[in-house]
Amino acid sequence: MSTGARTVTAPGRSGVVGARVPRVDGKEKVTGEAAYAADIALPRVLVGKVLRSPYPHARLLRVDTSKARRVPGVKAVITAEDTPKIPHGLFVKDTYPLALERVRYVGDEVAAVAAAIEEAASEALELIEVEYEELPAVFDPLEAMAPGAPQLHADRPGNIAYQLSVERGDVEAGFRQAAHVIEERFTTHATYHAYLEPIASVVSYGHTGKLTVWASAQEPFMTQAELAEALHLPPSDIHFIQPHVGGAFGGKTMDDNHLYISCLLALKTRAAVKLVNTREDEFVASRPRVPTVIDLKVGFAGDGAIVAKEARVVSDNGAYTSRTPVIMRTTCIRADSLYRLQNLRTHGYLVYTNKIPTGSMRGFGNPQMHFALESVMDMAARELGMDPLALRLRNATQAGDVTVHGWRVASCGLSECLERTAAEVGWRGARPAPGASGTKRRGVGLACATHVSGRRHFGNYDGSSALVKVNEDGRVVVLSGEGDVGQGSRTIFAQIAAEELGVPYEDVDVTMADTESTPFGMGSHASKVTFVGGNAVRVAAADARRQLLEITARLFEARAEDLAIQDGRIFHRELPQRALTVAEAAKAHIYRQGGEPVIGKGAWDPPSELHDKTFYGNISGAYPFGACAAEVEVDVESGEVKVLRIVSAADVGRAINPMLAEGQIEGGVIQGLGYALCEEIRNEEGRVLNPNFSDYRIMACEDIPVEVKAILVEPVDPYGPFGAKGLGELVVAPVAPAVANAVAHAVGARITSLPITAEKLFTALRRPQASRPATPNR
Amino acid sequence: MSPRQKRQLSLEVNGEPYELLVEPHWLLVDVLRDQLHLTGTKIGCGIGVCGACTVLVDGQAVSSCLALAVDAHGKAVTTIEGLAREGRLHPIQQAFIACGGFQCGFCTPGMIMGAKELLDRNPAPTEEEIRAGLSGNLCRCTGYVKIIESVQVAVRLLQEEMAGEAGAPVSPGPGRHAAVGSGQGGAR
Amino acid sequence: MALWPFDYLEPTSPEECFALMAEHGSEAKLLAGGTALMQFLKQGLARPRALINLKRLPGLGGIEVGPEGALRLGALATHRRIEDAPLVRERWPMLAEMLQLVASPRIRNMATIGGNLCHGDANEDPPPLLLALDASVRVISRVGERLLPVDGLFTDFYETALKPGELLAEVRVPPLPPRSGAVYLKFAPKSRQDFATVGAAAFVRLADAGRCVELRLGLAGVAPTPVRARKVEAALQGQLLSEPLVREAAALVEDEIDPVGDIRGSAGYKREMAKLFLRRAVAEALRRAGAAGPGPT
Repeated sequence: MSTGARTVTAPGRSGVVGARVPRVDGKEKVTGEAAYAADIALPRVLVGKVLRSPYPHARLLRVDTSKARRVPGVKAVITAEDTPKIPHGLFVKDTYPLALERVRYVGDEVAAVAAAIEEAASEALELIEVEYEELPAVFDPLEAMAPGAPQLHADRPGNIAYQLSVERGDVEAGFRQAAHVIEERFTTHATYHAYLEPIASVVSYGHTGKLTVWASAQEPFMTQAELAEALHLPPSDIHFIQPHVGGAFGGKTMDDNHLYISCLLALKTRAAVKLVNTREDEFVASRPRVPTVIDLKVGFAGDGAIVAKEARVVSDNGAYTSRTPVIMRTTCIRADSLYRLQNLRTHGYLVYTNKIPTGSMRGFGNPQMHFALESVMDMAARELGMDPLALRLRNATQAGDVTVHGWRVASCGLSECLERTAAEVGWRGARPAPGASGTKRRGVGLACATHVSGRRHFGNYDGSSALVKVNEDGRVVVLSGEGDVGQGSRTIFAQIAAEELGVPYEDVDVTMADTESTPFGMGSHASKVTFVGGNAVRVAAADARRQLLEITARLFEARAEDLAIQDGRIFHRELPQRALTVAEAAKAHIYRQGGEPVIGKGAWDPPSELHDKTFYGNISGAYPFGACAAEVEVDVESGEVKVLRIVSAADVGRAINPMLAEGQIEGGVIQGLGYALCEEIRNEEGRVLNPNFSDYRIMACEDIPVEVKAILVEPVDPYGPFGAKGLGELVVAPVAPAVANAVAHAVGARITSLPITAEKLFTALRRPQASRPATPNR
Repeated sequence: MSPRQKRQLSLEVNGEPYELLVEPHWLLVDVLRDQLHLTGTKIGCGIGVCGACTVLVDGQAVSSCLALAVDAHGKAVTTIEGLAREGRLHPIQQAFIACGGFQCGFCTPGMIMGAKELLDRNPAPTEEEIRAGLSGNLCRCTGYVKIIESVQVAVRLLQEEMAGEAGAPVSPGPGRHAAVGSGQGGAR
Repeated sequence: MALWPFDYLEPTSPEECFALMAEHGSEAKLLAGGTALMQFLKQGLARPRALINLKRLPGLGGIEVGPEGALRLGALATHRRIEDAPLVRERWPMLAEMLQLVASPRIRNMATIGGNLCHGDANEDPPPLLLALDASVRVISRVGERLLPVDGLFTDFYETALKPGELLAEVRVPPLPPRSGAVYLKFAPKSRQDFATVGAAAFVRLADAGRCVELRLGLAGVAPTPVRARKVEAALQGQLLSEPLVREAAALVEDEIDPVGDIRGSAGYKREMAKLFLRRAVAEALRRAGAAGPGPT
């Protein structure tokens, strides 16, 4: 078997790749020294606050800020009239930093205040007079698509923000071959990132004409560019410095208005402004996961082969468009590479509603379709009389495949992930029979998933760059603009640089991202930082190593190829006593006539391609795969589901740091369980009913399964740095279907709408005949 | 808004006595962060649910976002900044580094203060007791697995430290990034 | 999230406190542990001119047994101190068990039992069990004091029977008689940290013949206030508590609750869960009563 053999592609020069080294930011994080955006202290910083619409849809007839301006301590009160009125949005420019003429959801930003103290800002907010004329609103995307529905944006008839169709092979012929067809509607819900650090920014503006921005943003350079456009400033007039970021999960892409508003306040006051979201701000106006309605029909041959797939996807865009067009495209397309399938047709519609705009959240549309597809796989296994594991293995994508959308799968641990996950959960040969005691029923379910490691969506570039600076004392500094939002990229980069250079890990520092001093990087998205950013760091480190070897070769009057670096020592391979330290080489290189520092430069763009008009093309440099198995216990009297055990295997290519990789898996699995079982932003007439951590529950320490097991599968990717692929988002996707499949196994009820709440299951268990999927062609 | 009367607040923070003038409606968390610049204590939810603002008041863990600063008059407050002594990390801090018990680090100060109270009350908790004890501290990154492991390792380190007071102390390790051991050492 | 400014008053004697309460009337709020009040202030649900901090009042934090054998909990005793108290753990263990289900250790360090009851929140855990245990509260005011059963304390949504000028000083929990058992079950399927979808408490005392001679049931989350399930109690009083009988009786709770659908469940689901968890609470209380044996006399 080609997958799964634990091999090491590169000879370890310091042995630190693959080691469980402690993180570079450990000491500052456990002592409270790590500074996050809200911790940035500047003299005379003003406090910002935002006034939001209480109506889901209304015309703004009058906004009177005169009383608010008179509150002592208030320095500015701004509305759309104080802004350049340039809408932002990566794909559809429909979002104004402050509402222009109309508000389209409860939470829409209407005005903002900057004041010397928070109390004054709060008082001013209350004194802003706004006259609204309420307009009819629509909250359900299917209703919003119907004729006669209230229209949100004049230039988007039918409330369609974006739509796509993709077709491959011959779908009709495929379905004609099918022995069984499963057809079902699945619905998924809005969930919130719930990073512990609310979005915060400190923006300083003065006579230099530059905005200095510290913000909890996950993409420093992209944020700089987007701000520049909407604020009508040259990008270089925005100096973005990434502080420590307290988690992001797609929610700190700054597609919402927070950062635009703090910048506008700073520009208006010519001062420093701090704006910190309350948790309620987050719940009503960030960019939660896209709720999606998926009608999925999949045909299977008698032997289990998937012969055709047809899907209709309706994604709830909310009131404005963030990255949702591409998120919806991901929902439509990405899961198609999980299995070997040839015939498919998918229509996707992204629909405006008068609700909080939605956006990217760990998985970028992928968990939605995986819930549908992986539920269908179990429903099909039942129809076919096949073991769900065997059915998946029958169809699983393998290394070397070119998938239906032209994705070239260079490494693939999917089958190994499935087998090891199943074995760990007790699935030996076949799934164990459901268990029962009293009012409790036990069941086991599994699901698998695929994702990307970066993707070519933002123009024809998906690369990264880095500098590796060797100081005169032999210590090394890695400069990367990718940043770190908590996942540990700086640690991974330090390990990669140490390994490539041959210096001790402890000698490597990695700077924070800073648009004025670190080279360009796209930032944390698409599970690409290790894969793409890590490769750039590796190239830069190799360049620095080359320089060190050449310097030493000159000093030794030897050939560079006869020299090597290990543990910070440069030595002659045949005459090991001929050696000097990296410090000595770096110092000798600079303290001489015409001397220069050792700075390695690296850039790397993956061997992927922009897809064509039909969305065909190898969009990512590497594809990670994973599987998840859950054992659940259902209380049949209450419908409560307890997950007793969860196992997640991820094909990470190669784990640069197994401790961090496991951490990604464990964290992703628990987020996935929240998505599956308990988290949901609930709306009533567009108003969020649970905008706080008391009413929106993420899992607490006591709530997690007794056993959470992470398995690293390492087939070693030919393009990954030391074989590594992306990981962060992959692990979320299979969790919800694994739980749904386990519940179906335990009690026979198939829940097709997330989350699987106790009440939903209670109701399903009381529905007559609910326990079985209906006839194949329903 | 009329000017308001400030009140004298005497308290001890991380062993240092402070005399401050505060307004009655100021929250303890804001006084710690904005007046004393102890920004290790974080604000996560503002309503006492997430635990990022956990500090110890007279040894008891409290939500400093729900406590009035004036109410801490005459009391001793310990924040995350008060745990390391003479440049040496507290065993709980060492354990969190060694086990990777954090990712973004935003919940970490509160989590560690919660763990401190837990282990002060119960120096040898079972895994179940650790889970229950830390349930008021939310973490979105780790899924808690490595946090639980960190607390278990901290228990061991604290026991070793107690025993070590007669013998050799736990080494903080030679490496700059290291917490314990050689710098290559994880929890397992 | 700064609070709106207020005056802060710290009486050090009951007399001083009553004087301040009279002076400020409804413009003042009483501050005990503050965990609920601060949330109200932050959400703008209340904007008082003054807070009267009760924590400097003497003698309101005790945990002891009164001459009549009842547990006396000072209003300012925190949940944590009560759950930790050996006296409580030994003689009213169900109380300690219940308190451990309340929010988090940190909140229990702050929140007081008196504050909990005065808050009048129908979703809190302590009231149902205190109802089942037939607890009462001692209320003090300028004119004297009165004892009020917890059963009459809750009058409406976040409202109690306390009159202006009255202060809840103490909670009294009667001693547990021989052959009795009590339990509180919290059903919070989203998270153990959550408020209950439904909370159910039962107290059962058996006669020698195994018949139930005393029974009280309390519920959280199913009405504007914490409530007793009196019809269910009546149907079970004096009976041998068989499983079918309890199931049948529990169904009667339907008529005496009025749940509101919210993020923790629809009204219909809460009704069903009220029945289920009453049934389970009675069964567990019964088990405990049987296991308790004749007990000390």
